[in-house]
Amino acid sequence: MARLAAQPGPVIVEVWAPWCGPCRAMAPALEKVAGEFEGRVPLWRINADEDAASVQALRVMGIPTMIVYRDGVEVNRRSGQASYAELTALFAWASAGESSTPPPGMSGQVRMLRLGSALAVLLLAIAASQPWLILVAAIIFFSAVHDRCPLWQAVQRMWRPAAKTPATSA
Amino acid sequence: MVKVNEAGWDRIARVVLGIVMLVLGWGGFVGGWLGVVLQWLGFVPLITGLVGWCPLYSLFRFQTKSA
Repeated sequence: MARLAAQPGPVIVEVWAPWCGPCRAMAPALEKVAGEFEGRVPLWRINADEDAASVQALRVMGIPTMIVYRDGVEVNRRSGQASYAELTALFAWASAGESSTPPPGMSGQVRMLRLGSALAVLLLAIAASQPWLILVAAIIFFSAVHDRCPLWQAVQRMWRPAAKTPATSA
Repeated sequence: MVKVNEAGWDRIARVVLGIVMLVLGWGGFVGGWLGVVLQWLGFVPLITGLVGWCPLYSLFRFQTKSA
């Protein structure tokens, strides 16, 4: 944590574990992207099994988790497996420095808006005795969490072969 | 992925308006043809607010989201 606070510029910290399937699946893409941004955005990898104290200090609840720091201050965080394109977008955003563009991915405000709407529609469904509105609430709820759903990410990768990890050379 | 053309305040206002319309319509607070209109039209601001994209804005090349 002291190293992080003293590190100037952008740093991406990845918390992973050897037994974590999504971590292993993401590793080739992450190594490739980290290599492409070498010298601009350092990647620090923390093994959750070997450094539980750091994981607790970083308040990481699930793995893999990527945390973006700028000048020692956390500016963005995302959990779950990410595609090569998503990792590239995250590293590019981190290396852009101070900017007014939002980080890639769904913002917390939009996520809370969708979750609140799902709850409101669910309550309306119950109050108005309209069971089909529960389905509407479920769809809205899914729209709020789909980027964190590993099943949805797996389905997306099947639909979009171009976003798959490029084959690493032998 | 749709291009967001609504600002944050616009999206919140639409979602709130949509939920109010749906509650008035489906909650039985407004009856008759107006209630039916609210029941179904309420989904329009709700969905456009959640998605962040308004087709009318696109049609008229307008946006509330700052460039």
